[in-house]
Amino acid sequence: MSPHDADSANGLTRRDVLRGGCIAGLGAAAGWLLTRDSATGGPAAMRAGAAGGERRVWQIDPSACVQCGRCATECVLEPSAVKCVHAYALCGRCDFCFGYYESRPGSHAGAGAEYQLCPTGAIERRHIEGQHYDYLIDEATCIGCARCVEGCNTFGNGSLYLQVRHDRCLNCNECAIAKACPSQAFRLVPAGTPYLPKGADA
Amino acid sequence: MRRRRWMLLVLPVAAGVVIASAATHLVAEQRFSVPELSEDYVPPDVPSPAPRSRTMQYVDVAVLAAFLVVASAAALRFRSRGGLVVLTLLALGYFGFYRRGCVCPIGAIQRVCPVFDVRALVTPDAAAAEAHGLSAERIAEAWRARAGDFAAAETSGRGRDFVLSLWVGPDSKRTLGRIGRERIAPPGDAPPVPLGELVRTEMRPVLRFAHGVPWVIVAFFALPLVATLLFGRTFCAAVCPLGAIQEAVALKPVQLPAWLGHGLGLFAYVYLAAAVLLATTGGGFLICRQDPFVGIFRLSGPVIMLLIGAGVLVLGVFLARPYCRFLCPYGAILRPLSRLSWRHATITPDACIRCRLCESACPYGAIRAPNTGGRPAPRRRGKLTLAALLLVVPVLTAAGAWGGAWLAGRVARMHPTVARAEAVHRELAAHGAVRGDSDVTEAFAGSDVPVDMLLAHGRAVRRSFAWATPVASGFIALVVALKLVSLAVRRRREDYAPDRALCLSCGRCYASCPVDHARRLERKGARPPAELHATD
Repeated sequence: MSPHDADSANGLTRRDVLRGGCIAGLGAAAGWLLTRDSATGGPAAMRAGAAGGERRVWQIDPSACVQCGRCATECVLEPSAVKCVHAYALCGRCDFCFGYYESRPGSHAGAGAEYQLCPTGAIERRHIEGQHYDYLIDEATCIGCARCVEGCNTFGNGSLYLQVRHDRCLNCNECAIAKACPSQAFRLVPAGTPYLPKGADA
Repeated sequence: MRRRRWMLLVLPVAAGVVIASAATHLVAEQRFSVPELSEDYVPPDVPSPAPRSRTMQYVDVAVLAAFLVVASAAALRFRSRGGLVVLTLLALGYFGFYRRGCVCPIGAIQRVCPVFDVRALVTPDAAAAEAHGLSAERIAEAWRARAGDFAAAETSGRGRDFVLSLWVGPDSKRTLGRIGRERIAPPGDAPPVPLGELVRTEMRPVLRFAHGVPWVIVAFFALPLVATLLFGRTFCAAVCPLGAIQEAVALKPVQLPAWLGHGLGLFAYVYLAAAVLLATTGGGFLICRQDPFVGIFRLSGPVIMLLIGAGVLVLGVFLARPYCRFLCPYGAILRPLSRLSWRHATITPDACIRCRLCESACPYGAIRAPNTGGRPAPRRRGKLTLAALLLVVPVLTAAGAWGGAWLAGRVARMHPTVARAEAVHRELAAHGAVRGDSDVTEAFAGSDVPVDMLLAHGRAVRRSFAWATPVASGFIALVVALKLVSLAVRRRREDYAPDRALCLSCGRCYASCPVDHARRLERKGARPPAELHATD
């Protein structure tokens, strides 16, 4: 018999009272947390996501992205959960694509890998008709380095852009890329509409 | 058949119309026009994979609850070390390698703690208004009218003086900048003045208790706490994936001297305080960033993270569960709760026979020996010591808080907004403009956030650190002081018993207890050796 058991034979012990208080406090706090209305929430609610209602997931705002390349290096996953996405409704289907070819003199000399911008060769150039080509992203190969996005945004229509792909993203409490993003382009969006698409393509 | 032919005609036309309308809609911002392609061209499909479904989150919580129940039963009711090991491996598989370490109760601490948000208050500047011959009402009216165009802005009626009050997020800083750049015409033929020059913008930190924490996070945070209040730290024993991976490698554990174990154990409270401080001020999630094992669970990650994880595991071969015992901030919360637990794992199923065989079974230094032998210190001296120590508690806490206040400025630099504001400020001071020399300033120069908005935000975050840092350091000092008091208080122990705070209910000691062994034999129908019951 421990001293505790001997005491409890005579009624409540201090430990019983404290434990009861803890459980009651925990219950009250949890209930209160769950009933808080996210509609009145500020940035904390934006960060944490909605209560009871909709869960939130990480996404990149393409209009704020500055193509720094950190999406490829900072993600906890290897390769990154961020991939290049193509808004076909915006694409000019150019023959010389600034997202596909290196934009240096003579770089259109051939179709070899040495003329391509993508370090992993994740963009496929497919002829449509006349002078027009489709550029397709192979997500399995894409590492989210944003080099094509930079080219397309600097000289082209900006139809290539980065998005967090939710078949890969783990939705960390704190997104490691969001933390490193110099332009604060990452934000939490409702899980029901997990993408911030560019153009009318989505 | 007829219907299919009709579809063949309509589909390409519809696709063409969609593409054409999209193209004309967007043509204004295009450098190259979208070409008109033949009608049988269909643009490639871009899939939009959905995030983890709601149902699967219910499954996660149900699995956690089931694990807690089974682990508690295995540790307390069935006293089965084997069962706990199996459960540990299952937890490692599910919460570790399948769920890849997320969501976990340890990280959830940072989601449920209160947060300092920053509120921007815009008030008409009386002096500037007078200089331009404008009335405060006219300025307020202009601001309110434009704020209506932005969803992020709230015109709040709560204050008398300010015209706009909004929680500061990435969007609202831009909103303020956009409104501030719009112009208002003063009376007469003076040139229009930007609205931003007619107001003062003040940013204040406001401590707000968590809004909109997803219920899954709340459940993951609270369920192990409840289980600990009922049955002790069975969550640590066989549910936590971080504990599981360390338990799996603890092959040759050595025993630490008690003073070292107690001393190192205090680091968990330092870590807890630092993590809550950073989460509260919005400076990031320290626990998740420094998680040593999450890279192993994901089989990928930064090299340094994987190396640290591997290092902790190698250390864990000889020093059992180093993360759990000396760092885990959730363990720091569980320790006092486990002291209060309703039931707790015991070394022996029956009365202790003081055979001392369990003494060396525990690699965590959680077995307390009886202290009935030897003479206690004289009562009067003990009383004086305790009184002195109790006096030390407020003194030490105050000293800790003072130290935190002194350090607050330096600690605040860990916050990204403060770091960004300082970088921009340095560049402004050196060159008179934000040139974009570093990535951070370059990205800032490319954004449409006004400089004074960023600097005001940085100051507000600094102010929240000025409040929160002394609280965090005072908490650490309080824990140290209470530890001193608890070490000085002598509680009478008749038997070998687990230290409820440190015991992880791992069940290693069960096998070394001869009473337990006899009970098992009895269950199997064998007669136990009679001398074991002799000392009862």
